[in-house]
Amino acid sequence: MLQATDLVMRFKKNRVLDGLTLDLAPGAVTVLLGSNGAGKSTLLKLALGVLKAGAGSLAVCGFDPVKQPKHARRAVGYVPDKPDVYDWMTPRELYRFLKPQYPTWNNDKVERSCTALDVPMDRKFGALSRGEGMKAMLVAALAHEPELLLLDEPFAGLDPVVREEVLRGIIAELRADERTVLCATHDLDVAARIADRVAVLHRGKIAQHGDLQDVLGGDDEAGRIPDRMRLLLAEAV
Amino acid sequence: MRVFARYLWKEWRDQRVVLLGALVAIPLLLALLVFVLPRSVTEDESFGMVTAFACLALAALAVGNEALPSESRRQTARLLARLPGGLDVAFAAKLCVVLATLIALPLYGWSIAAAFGASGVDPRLHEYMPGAFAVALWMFVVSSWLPRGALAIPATALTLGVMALPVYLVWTHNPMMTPREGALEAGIVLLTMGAVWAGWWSFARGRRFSRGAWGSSWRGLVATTVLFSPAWAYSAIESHDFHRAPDPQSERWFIQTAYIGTGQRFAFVTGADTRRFHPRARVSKPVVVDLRDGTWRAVGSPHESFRPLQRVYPASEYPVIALVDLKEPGNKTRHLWTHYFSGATGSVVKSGWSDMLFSEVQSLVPRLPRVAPDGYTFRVRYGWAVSLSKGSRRFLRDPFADKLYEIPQELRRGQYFVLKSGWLSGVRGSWRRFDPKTQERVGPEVPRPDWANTDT
Repeated sequence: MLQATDLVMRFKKNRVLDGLTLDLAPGAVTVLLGSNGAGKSTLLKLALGVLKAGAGSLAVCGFDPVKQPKHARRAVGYVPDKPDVYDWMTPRELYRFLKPQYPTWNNDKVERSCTALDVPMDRKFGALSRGEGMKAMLVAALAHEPELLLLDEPFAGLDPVVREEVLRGIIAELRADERTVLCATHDLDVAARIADRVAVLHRGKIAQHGDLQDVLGGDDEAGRIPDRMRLLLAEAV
Repeated sequence: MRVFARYLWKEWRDQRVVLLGALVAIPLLLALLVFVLPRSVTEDESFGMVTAFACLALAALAVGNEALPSESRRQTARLLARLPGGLDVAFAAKLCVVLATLIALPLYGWSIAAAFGASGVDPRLHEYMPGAFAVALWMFVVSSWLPRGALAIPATALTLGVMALPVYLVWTHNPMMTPREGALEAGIVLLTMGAVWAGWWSFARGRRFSRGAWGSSWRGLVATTVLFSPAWAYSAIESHDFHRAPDPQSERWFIQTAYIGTGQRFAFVTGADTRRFHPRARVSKPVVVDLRDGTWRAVGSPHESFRPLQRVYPASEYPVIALVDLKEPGNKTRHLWTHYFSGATGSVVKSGWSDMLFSEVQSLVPRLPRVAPDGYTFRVRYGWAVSLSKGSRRFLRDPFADKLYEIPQELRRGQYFVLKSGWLSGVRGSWRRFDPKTQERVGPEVPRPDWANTDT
C-alpha cells in the first residue's frame, strides 16, 4: 500500500527524513508515532504528492505520487489536522465539489457517514465546530472508498469531549471497512485505541515498526527510541 | 469537463459577492455621477471610456489580484494541491473567471455609461485598452508570487518596469529608430498570451510540492524574462542595423528618394536595407553618390533622419533642400534643420538659419493649439508649412528675415516661393509678389518663376 525506501527530505538545512524506510501492511491501522517536528506530516504529504522527496523512492498503492499524482491521490483519502476548506462552503457543497474528481465516489456512503457522525450537511464550514469540521473532512476522505487512508493528527487541538467524539467516529468507520490506514499522531492514547501496528519515527528514520505489543516488548535498538516515549507508550497501553 | 465545471462553480461562489456588488454598484455610482456632473461631461464619449477603464481597474483589483493570493492566505491552496485535479485545473478555472471579469466588467460599465447618455466610442479606448488589459493580466500573474493582492500593483510596476527598461533605453537612445509595422502590437499580444503561461508556471508549477512564494516568484521572473527577451533581441538587432553604415551598392539597398544634382554627377539618395525596410519606416540612410564612379559617402548621424521634400526629385540644376529631423536623446523637442545639397559639388551643408524647436514655434505663435503637429512638409524651397491635426493653419518661414509668417486662410492653397528679393505667391497658376507682413498679393502678375535661374 505504501512503500517508502530510503526517503530523504530536507527543509533547507534541516534533514527531516533521513533514509526512512517503511512498508505498510495492507488492511492494518498503523499509527505513526513521533514527537512534534519528527516528520510525520511530511511523510503523509510525500505520500499525497504535495511534497517531493530529495532522495529515495515512494510508492502509494503502486503509484508514484510525484509522477502519477492523479492516480495516487484517487487511491488515497486524507484527513488534515484541521479543516482547510472554504469558510463559505457547506459539507454538501464540498462533497459536490469533490465528487467529479473521484470516479469511485459513493454518495450513499456519504449519506450514511454523515448520518452516523452527525455532520450538519448544510451549515457552512465557517459556522461548524472544529469537531464537526473534522468529521466532515473524514467523510470526504472516505467517500471515494480509498485504498489507503492517511490521517494527519486529526485529533490535535480538539477538546477532550470532541476528541472522543471524533475518535469514536473514526474507529467506527475503520472497523466497518478493512482499510489500510496510516495515522500520524503524537497522542499515545489514540495509538493505543486504534493501532494494529505502530511505527516510531525518530531522527528521520523509522526506529521501530511492528505490532503494538512487539514494539513495546522488543529491544529498544541501542536506545533509539527515547525512554520517555517508550514509557509514555507503555503507560498509554 | 465536470471537474473543470465544479472548479468554475467554486470560483464563482468565491467571487460572487464582489461581482454582484459591482453589477449593482456601477449603475448606482454612474447614476450619481450623471446627477452631479454637467451633461457636457457625462454625454461625452470620454465618459464611457473613463468608466470602462475604472471598471477594468476594479476588476483587476477586486478579482484579478486576489484570486491567487487568497488561496494561500486562507490555506485553501493545501486543499487544491492535494486533489487529483491538482493546481493546473484550479489555475485554469481562476484564469477563466479573471479573464471573463476583465472583459465583462469594462464592457458592462461602458454600456451603462452609454445608456446614461455617453455618446460613441472614444478612439483612445481602442488605443489604450489592449495595453491596460495586458497590465491587468500581469497583475494577476504577479499576485501569485505574493501573500496579498494589493502588493501586486507595485510588484507588477517594478517587474514590468525593470523588464521594459532595456527596451526603453535602446529606443530613447536612438530616437530616429522606428519599430517595424506591427512590432508593437505583436509585443502586446506576446506579453498578453505569455502572461497566461507565466501565471500557470508561477502558480500551478511554482506552488506544487508546497513550495512557497519564492518557488512561485522565481519561476514567474524566469517566465517574464523569457517573454521579454524577444523585445530585447528585437531592439538590439534594430539598434545594430540602425548604426550599421549604409551600403548603397548592396543588392538589398532600396532607394526611397533620389535627388540628382547639377551636371548629373552627384545624387543625394535616401534609402534603406530591404531586409529592414517597411513602408512605414521613417528611418532612411542618406548618402551622396558620385554617379561617375559609384563612390558614395554617408551623410548625417544616427540621430538624424533626412526627410526628403518629395518622393523623387527629378534632375535639376539648383540646390535641393533636405530636411533634417533631429531628436536628441532625452530631448522631447525636435529640431528642424534644413541642409543644402549642392548638386554641383556633392556637398551637403547645414544652413545657418533654420535651427528651431517646435516649442519655439508654439511660443512664436501663441494661438497655435498646443498639440504636436502631425506633419510638416516643404511646399516651397525655403519656407516650411506646419499642418496640424486640428485646424489647418499654415506657416511659412522666411529664412532671410528669420521670421515665421502665417499664411491667410484664403491664400493657403497657393504655392509660395521665398527669395532674397521677396516672396512670390502662385494661386491658380497666377503668380504675383506677396508681402508676408500685410499678407497681401501685390503688384502685377509675373511669369511663373524660372526655377533654374532664380536668385537664391
